[in-house]
Amino acid sequence: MSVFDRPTSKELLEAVIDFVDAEIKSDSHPANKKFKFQIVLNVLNIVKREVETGKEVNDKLTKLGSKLIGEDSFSIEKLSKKIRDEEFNHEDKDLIDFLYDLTEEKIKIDNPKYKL
Amino acid sequence: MSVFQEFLENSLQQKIKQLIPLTGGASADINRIILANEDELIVRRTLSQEKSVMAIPKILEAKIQKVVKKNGAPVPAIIFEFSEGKEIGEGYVMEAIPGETIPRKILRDEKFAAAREKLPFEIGRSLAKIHQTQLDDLKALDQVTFSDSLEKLFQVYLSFNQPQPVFDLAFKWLEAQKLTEYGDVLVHGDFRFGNFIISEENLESIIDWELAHIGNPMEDLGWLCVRSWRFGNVEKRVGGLGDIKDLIAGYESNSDIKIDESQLDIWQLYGSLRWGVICMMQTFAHLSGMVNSLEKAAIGRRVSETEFDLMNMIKHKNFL
Repeated sequence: MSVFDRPTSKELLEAVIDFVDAEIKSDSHPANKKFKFQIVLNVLNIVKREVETGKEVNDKLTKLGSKLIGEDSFSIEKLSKKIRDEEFNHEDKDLIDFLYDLTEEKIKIDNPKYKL
Repeated sequence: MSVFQEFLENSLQQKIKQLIPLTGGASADINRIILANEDELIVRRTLSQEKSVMAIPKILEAKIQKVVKKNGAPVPAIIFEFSEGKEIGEGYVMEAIPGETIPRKILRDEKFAAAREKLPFEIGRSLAKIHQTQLDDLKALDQVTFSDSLEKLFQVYLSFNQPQPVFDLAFKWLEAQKLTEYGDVLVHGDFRFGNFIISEENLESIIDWELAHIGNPMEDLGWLCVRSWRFGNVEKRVGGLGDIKDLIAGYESNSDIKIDESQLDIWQLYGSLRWGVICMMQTFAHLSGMVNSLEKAAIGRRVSETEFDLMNMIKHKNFL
């Protein structure tokens, strides 16, 4: 339930994405402008994917992270500090598995085509 | 006419028809000079009086190109150097080598098909030549060891105060590696597509020497193999173009150094980490308010690409 009216933030984003996409495909802009529009489109798509699944991904990784560090509250800052302080060995399998999952989830939002 | 154009005309003793700005290195203002007789030259200069954190002075860049060229490696000939006031700056004029530098065109256009076949070997062969440059005339260059580079990169990373656990793991992983010493060589420092001028026949020239230093030869080879320069051709480790075996064969055909692939893996991993930190550097230039740039804001979300590459290398030993 939301107190805000439709269009939802996702629907608003989709309208802007469609607009920018149409501008790129039209013949009305020079190549350098199209290149800038392409960056705008990429950024909007990142935001759209994060709006759609970001919370769910964040919750999942926070839970896995807590298990990894053996503490109730997890943060990226905490994990970085533990690696720097060598509380984890650089060959620790659980750490490597967690960080691999983390990067997989991040790349799905930032650039899903990048993954092999 | 601008003061700069007037200065160039007086120095060259020729009229200039047009000065065309080119995009270039982080600390260089680059222009193509079209002379009245249609001949072309390139001028690279820096206007800032402040010493760049990363780039070497332009006068030193010119000196390296002269020394490297004398040794037979493909670089543009230097016409003249200058060191003037703030309106003109410090820089040099060099010959304009015809050819293409844009990686996507080199990788995809049909007219480069024949050149593509031999490029990994030829690039390796030319790099070996560069690495054999006598260092006596280049004493002004910094000597940088692997641990110096790693420490400097770590300090830059820390300065953003944005923890990236994957980077922290990569720093620890790299600290634990045993590096082979091959003896000091001239390292180009940004040896990748974008800085190669390619004709339909072959590699014509290697440009953009602003990150040159003295160090380990594997740094240039590893940087060339970083996945970020493959432009979609992921399975081709050498710049999205060819196999590592051809690069090594080209290098070894012209050098006494025998390349151990596991050393190249380490330097490739270092290269991905370095590119990740450079992406952060760019995005924090925007976030700090120093510049307001869509491109710089967007590049912050490319850090995850380098993290993905790092974890593939660390977890799966996958360097493709």
